[in-house]
Amino acid sequence: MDAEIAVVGAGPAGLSAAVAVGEAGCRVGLVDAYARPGGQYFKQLPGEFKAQAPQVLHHETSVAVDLFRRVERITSVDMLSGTGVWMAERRSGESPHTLHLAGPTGAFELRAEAVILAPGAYDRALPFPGWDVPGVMTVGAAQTLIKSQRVLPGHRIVLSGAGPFLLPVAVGLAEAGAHVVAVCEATPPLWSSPWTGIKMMNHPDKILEGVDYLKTLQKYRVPVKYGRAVTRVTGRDRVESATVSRIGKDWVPVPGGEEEVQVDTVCVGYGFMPSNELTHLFGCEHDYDPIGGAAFARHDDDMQSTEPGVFVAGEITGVRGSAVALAQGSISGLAAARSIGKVGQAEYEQAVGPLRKTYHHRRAFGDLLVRYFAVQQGWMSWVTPETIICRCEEVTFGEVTDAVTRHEARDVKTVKSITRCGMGPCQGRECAYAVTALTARLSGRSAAEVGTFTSQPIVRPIPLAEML
Amino acid sequence: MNDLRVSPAHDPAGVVRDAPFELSFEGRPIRAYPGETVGAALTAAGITTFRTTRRRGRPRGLFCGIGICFDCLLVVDGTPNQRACLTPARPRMVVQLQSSMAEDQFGR
Repeated sequence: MDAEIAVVGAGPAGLSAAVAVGEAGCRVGLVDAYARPGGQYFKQLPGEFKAQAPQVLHHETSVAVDLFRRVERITSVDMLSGTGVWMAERRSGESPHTLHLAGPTGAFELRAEAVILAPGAYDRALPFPGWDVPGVMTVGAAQTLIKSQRVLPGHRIVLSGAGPFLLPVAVGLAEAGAHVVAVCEATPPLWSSPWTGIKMMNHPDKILEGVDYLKTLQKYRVPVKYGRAVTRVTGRDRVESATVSRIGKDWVPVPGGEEEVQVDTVCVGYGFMPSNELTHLFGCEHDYDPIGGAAFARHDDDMQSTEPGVFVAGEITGVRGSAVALAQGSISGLAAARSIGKVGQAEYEQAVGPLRKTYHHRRAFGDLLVRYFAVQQGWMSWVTPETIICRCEEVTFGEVTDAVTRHEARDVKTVKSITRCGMGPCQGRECAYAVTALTARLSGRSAAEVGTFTSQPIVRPIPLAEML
Repeated sequence: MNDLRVSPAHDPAGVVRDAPFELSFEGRPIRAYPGETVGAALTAAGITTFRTTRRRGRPRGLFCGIGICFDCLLVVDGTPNQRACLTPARPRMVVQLQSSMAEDQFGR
């Protein structure tokens, strides 16, 4: 099928992009992997559930509801739900941007004059002994279970990670009736850094939001423990207990600072990784961000990547949260519409001005958090030679060490070809961060020097029959 | 309810599900509700192991919950490599543990 603009991802960024291009009169194909639009942040209950007060599950329900309504109302937006992109390429001709899709009715192509990529991000988990035991899951997985399925992941839960995302999920779990044993925040509290505290004053609404979460956790008697992390889990068929370690500023466990907690579920999340495989396939240039620990597509003020006609929005530009994603989505939509002559220059400038202001204000807040809660190198002392690093191919830290020290691998590509790490069905998404960090540490080089996995043309598994 | 579904007493959202149905997991009847994923229905029933790994035979279950990690793979109605976190539960579905990965048959 053909569209003037293709939008990938129906989260905050993709939805606001689709609304902008749709309202400019463009024919839009909005591709989303899930059954209902919303992405992770505006995740909806299944259509089959009825809820008396669905808004209590969401933070900014009115924004989400408004976007859902507008996307539905615009007749030129074709919503392609439950549809994944398995390949993307640029061809010659009038609608060069081609997405190869697999949806409920099988495989098909979507060709467009311009494409807006808003595929979002996913939780970053760090390896530790026992992180592969059932019952250990990402914070995002727990949130999906409670927010969209209204099922608790377990009875007794400990959360461990870095960043403000832990708090709303812990609140959601406690309110839903789980026993949240503790929230382990690896980083010291925000207020312990005067510099960050002063900067935070520019975002009073966000401070209040955080205080609100902390108050609710207090009400449910959930302790928030700073400078702590789950560094080991025991159990075979399911989690039996977790070791909570006191860690230093560098995240190296402090001797004697271990405590064993009896839990059946451990939720982990140390920031987010961008889903940047499509920008790689389109040949966009990326910059490695050592603080974010990932490569992000380079873009200009109009959200256009280094490839003409390929626009980017939301978490793939830097993981700076939903407010940034919403503003970037609108900007990218207007810019894409302008690029095919559907929005005039004067109209564009007028609309984009206030959006840019919001974007820069919220981006500053996102920068603050990403920097403050950045992963520290000491996590690498949590792993043992037997610890699984690549979950798919079951490659251990010992095998990665061997590849670097005995076989003299100097970059991630070589480690991958020696050990098979990153070659499984998740295609390296889950271990990319860890393999880069470990290879850098073992070889004495920087993360930027050792590189990371590169996306291969088929970016997700698809039955052979559907490709042919 | 003696399962892990959020009980009405703890649900400010007031979610109401339609009438439940049954699917089978390893021959055992499991209750599920319209709109639930297979992963959610199994989690609600206290089941955490969905497959065992190819190299070491280790148990695995839900991990990322959003279709990215491919850890929650199950055999659904005879088709292997189905992601429990995304696959909608259906009446009379036959779900089995996946004991190794059939990599040439990856499903959606």
